[in-house]
Amino acid sequence: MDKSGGVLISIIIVMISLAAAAVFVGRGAALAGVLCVALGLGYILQRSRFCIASAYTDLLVFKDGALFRAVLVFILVSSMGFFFVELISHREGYVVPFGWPTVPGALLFGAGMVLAGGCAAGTIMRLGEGYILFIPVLVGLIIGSTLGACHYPFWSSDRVSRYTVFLPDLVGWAEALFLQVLIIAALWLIIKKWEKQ
Amino acid sequence: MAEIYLDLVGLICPVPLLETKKKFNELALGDVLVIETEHPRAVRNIMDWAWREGNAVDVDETNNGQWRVVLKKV
Repeated sequence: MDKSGGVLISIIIVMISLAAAAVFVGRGAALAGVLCVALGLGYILQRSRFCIASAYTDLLVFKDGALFRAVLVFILVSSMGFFFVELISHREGYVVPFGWPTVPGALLFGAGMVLAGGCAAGTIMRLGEGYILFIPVLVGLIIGSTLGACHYPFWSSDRVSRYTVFLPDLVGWAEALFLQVLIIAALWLIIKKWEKQ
Repeated sequence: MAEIYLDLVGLICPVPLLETKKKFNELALGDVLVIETEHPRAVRNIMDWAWREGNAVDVDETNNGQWRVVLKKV
């Protein structure tokens, strides 16, 4: 496909995005702000070639922990941000309980992610890039999420999801922050050491 | 000094780097491996691997969304 066709399609996409943004703005400034943040995040994700699925395959198949360590930094920064949001707003924390289905669910997700070639965010980013190969992955994502949503009352019931852990409640706010930083820093160093072997 | 051509268009990571490593092991010193791929993450993968191994690598975007990676065994 030659570059002039690409410019036309880009203009159309930008116009549709602006129209969508206008709808969001009509519904409230907060939602418009969320749209802007989402667009910015998507742009960074695409430009930096960040890929969470690659983080795992690079580490386990090629012994390259660079992306995985980047994901650790990403988790650290996000959790610190959320920590301060929850501290300031005195919310009890958006904590989702876990139970026995979490482990097989995580294994399923990991296997699917590697076979598909990307996780949820990566898939949507690649579709935005124009990578048509990922359309079946999106279809799979929608089917899976819909099935999960249909059965959500079962999965969130007390029998299945038993353990709710909110660290600041457990050990205190400052201790929770310290623990989070410590664990992620330790993981970072372990991965760095493991790469060198 | 042979030039070997590897067409990895349509393959999703981790397959491109696995195929590249396999082909690279068969090369003699001074050979050049030319890889065609559509997957941006795979390009990055191959580049990082080449730098870690100490090989010379050159990347060229031939078309919108297609890359040609040239690896030289040193």
